[in-house]
Amino acid sequence: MSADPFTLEIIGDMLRASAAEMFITYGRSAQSPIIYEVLDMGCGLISAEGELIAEAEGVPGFVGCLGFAVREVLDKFGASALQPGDIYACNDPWGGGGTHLSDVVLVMPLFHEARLVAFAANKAHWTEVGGMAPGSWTTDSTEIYQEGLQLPALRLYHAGEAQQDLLDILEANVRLPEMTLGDMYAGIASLHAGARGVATICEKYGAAALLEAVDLLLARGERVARERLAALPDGTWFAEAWLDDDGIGDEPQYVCVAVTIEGERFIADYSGCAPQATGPINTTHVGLMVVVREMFKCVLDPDFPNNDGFFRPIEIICPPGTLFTAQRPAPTSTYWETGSYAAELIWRAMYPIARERLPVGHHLSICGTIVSGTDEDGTPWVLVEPQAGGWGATHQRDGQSGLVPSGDGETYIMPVEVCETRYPLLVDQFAFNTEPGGAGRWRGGYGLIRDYRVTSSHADLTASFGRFRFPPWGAAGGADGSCNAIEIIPAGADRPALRTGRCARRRLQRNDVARLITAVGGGHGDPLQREPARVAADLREDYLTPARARSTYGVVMNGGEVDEAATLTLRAGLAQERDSGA
Amino acid sequence: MHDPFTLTIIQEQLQAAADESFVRLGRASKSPIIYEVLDYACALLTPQAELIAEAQGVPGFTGVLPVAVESILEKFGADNMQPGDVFATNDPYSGGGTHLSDVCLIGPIIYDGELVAFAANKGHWTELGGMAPGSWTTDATEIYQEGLQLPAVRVYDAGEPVRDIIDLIAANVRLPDMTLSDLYAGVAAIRVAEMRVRAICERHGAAALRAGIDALLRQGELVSRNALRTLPKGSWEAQDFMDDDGFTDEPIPVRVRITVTDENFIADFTGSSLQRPGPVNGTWARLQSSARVMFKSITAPDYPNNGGCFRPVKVICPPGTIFTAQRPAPVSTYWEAGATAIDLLWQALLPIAGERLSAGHFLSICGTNLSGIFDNGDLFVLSEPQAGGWGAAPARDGQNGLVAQGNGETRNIPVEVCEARYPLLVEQYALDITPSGAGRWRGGRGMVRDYRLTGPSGHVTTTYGRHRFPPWGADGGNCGSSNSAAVIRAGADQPEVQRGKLARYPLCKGDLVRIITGSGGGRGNPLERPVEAVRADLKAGLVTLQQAAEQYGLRFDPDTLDVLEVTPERRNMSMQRVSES
Repeated sequence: MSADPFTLEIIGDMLRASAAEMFITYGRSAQSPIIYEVLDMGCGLISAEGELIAEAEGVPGFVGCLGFAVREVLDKFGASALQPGDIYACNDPWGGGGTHLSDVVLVMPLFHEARLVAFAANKAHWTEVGGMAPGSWTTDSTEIYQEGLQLPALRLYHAGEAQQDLLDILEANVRLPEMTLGDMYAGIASLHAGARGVATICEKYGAAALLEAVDLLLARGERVARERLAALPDGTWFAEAWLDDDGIGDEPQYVCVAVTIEGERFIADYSGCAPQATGPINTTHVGLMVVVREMFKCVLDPDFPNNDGFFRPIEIICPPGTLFTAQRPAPTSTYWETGSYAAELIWRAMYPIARERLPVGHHLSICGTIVSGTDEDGTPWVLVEPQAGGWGATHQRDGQSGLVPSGDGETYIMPVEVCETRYPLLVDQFAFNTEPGGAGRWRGGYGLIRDYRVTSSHADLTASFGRFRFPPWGAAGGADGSCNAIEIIPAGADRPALRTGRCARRRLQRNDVARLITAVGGGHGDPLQREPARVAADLREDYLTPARARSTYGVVMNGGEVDEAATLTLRAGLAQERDSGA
Repeated sequence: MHDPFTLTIIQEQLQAAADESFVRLGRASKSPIIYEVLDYACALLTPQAELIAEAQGVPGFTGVLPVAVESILEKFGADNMQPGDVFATNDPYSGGGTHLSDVCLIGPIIYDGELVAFAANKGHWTELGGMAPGSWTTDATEIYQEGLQLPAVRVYDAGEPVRDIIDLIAANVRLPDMTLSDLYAGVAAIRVAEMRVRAICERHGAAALRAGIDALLRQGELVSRNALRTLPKGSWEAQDFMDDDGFTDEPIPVRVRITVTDENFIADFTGSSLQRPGPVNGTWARLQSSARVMFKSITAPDYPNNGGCFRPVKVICPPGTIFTAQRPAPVSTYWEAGATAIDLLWQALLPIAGERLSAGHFLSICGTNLSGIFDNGDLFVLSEPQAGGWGAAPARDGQNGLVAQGNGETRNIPVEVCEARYPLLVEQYALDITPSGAGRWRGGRGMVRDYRLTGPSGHVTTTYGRHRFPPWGADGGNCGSSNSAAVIRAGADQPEVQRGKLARYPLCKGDLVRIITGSGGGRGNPLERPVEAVRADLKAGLVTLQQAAEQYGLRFDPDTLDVLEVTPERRNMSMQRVSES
């Protein structure tokens, strides 16, 4: 007997509400600021076959991994070996992890009357999972073995009983065991929240109705995706780009994609990308699938509730052993540097047919930052956080200023007050970065400048800021943005001793300042066509200097007001200069 | 009451069980450092964690296994152990005692529901993950960089492997096939010991086994106490320096004060340097080993080791020193501190036990990790200790090319095995004849070993202590020479680098790694060395004509080896001796 459509809708909403509850539970109970402040996590409910059926916001890439993690558990143990109360942990970048070892997936099979009906799963960035560097990820690793403890789909809990020895190993191998285990227990609480939601559905409507609703949701996802695809023009679009370097060598790395739409098919072909790197910027095939899904969703229908049915039309072509399909034991701890590029390549390739949904280039890199050290009493501390930066303009709006990059989704940055309370750091400055870049009819959003002054005897800085050499792209005559950068200003000095895109455990002494600078986004359209009133507003906000207002935008001010006539003349002159120059 | 014959038979059977464990582990392991080098030990222990019998390659493991068993007992409790369980620990600060690469496996032996003994072994597993291939390195600053930590966990539960733990180990090491073979070999060694001990119980009864063990330990204690009584009573001190910690060039001061009383042998390391940022630190359990080893050397070296022998030994050292490092201090080259502790005791004991002790030897394990890739891209890791020169004995020249004291009964890897298993050519394997170690009795010669890399690329990591402070001479003998490792690039004839410690120094195809180990210290005034002995050394190429003249006071004819001239110093020395007599 089939459930009525109203019931099925209600079940779908209940599933989403359960996922949201998982998310809130995780955030409220985690020990690590990167989880409870930054929300560097994803939570979802997965079908008994391993397809995502409902998700909470958070890091989109994380949610995309959950189905793979469930399938890794199913492949390894077999559905018949799973028991109520089991909890599995996985962070294998080649299996269900998909990212780097710091992001741990927890999976719990959910049963109703002895029948496997679904899985609850979450993935979060645990502050510490051991490895060669405090905070676990680093820019100078050359093998996965240096990047932390690997959990290859392990049964942490067996029928509700903790496998204490495994937890002991986890505790022994991480630098901040209280924080790491705290994160793990928070993750488990989150799974239980999901389990309660699914149990409620089963008790109220029966497992059969749940499974029917799941099938319906997935089928609907697929149908919607295929409809949206059919509405897009057929054809092939190509994009290419360069990554700064791999952190070990100095060579830029080439990447490209050809996106083909053919009726209801969507093919992303990454053939031709650079081989996997020595340094840790590599992404795995699972990671690649996840970011392609993100962009597919953005372009086709960002508002439709996510489920794996939606992604069924995607086909990915990429030979093994590239930057996007690195093979074990390649290091992957700053995977986001390539993952974000794999996404942005699609973004750029599809921009011509999807500019209503897509801004131009943004700061892109997670700009991952670790500051670590030990307290006077020897207790280690580790600050791990992403940075926000400038987004690109759209064809009808200025770019967003100070927003986390696309790969970070719904996450936040670490509040200044939390930094200063929990770590021996003073945030001397947290300001917009208004350096030149991103000019356009619609200008790019501003990046940020954040100064950390070390107040302990010393600290170590590790940071991976991609787009240090290749700025965010502009379009339709808009200028490229500026670059992300890290600067080290020694105590007492007034200029940086170092400006770079990556550093590994760089020693800072007391009163040294680490200045974290994120890029200005790309601009859209001709700057000389920007409404003068908007230029005037930017001047009032001190985003622009009068000199740049004139030279870049051709806007002349007079007593705080736009001098319309002088502006028209100047713009005509600048345009003529530009055209003759070209 | 059990008759003494039965008890003796039981004791011999226990020793045989330990020996059989040892053989089985060596035969089953895939790691050359275990089956060739014998870098492991097997033992039986009492339910109270006292050593009953052991078979060892490495004496440094002697004091460690009891501490490891204690840590298992404390964590799990004897009541929660089942037949077939196997526990693993490599925690240096509690159970492991050395570095993470050395994993202790412990199996309770339960007969008729009663815990009658433990079978235990500790081996150097080739790969345990961490920041560097081969796991130990000279530039670690925290234990978290040095490999997978196993904090007393159950790897076999009532005979069944704990799948998740084994999967976890496999995932976190670079050569899982080899590492798991080390694990399985260790488990096999426990199983055979268990079988033999159970056979003793079946034949003679558990009560007889207990009585046999008690008698054995009492006898060990008696042997030690008798020997202790023959030693002079009082206190003796020694001070020395370790080279550095791999990060700064600062020498590390260490000291010991030994007190011998009628009842105790007390080694007090108070006043030694605090733990260092680099991985040369040792931990408490290894310090116990150091004290036990030296105590045994001067009391009853021939009597088989058991826990009773060590009951008079007391070790004093505050926490947080170079010998008693605290978490999370790096310890992956712990043998530098461990060997230094032994050498300090050795120096301090020389005045009262000189007849049993040689002069200073090259001391450092000279741990060498050569890693890289084969032409097909597969990883290889060669991990081995080096042999070197020993100090002169009271009435004998030092041994040439013998593994360091801390390596006990181990061996180095044969040239043929090196060349067959790794993309390496051993172009030279010779005695080092750097002038040093002269004495009435000459120090033994160190070795020179040249590895040429034939694979595409590689790295070399070495930790050679006594690079800056050579082996000490005694009674007027000269000191020996230093340990060092050099890299000579393909085509070059001079080393690009020559140091004691190298961390993952990059190598290309055709580069040569030259390993030089120190010669031992001499004993007695070199001017008293008989002409015939110096001539024999000349013939053997162990000393040069110049050294004979400068250090032994004898100028030889290069062709006939007749003495052409005796230096005034040597003549004076001879006259002095004549007048004294």
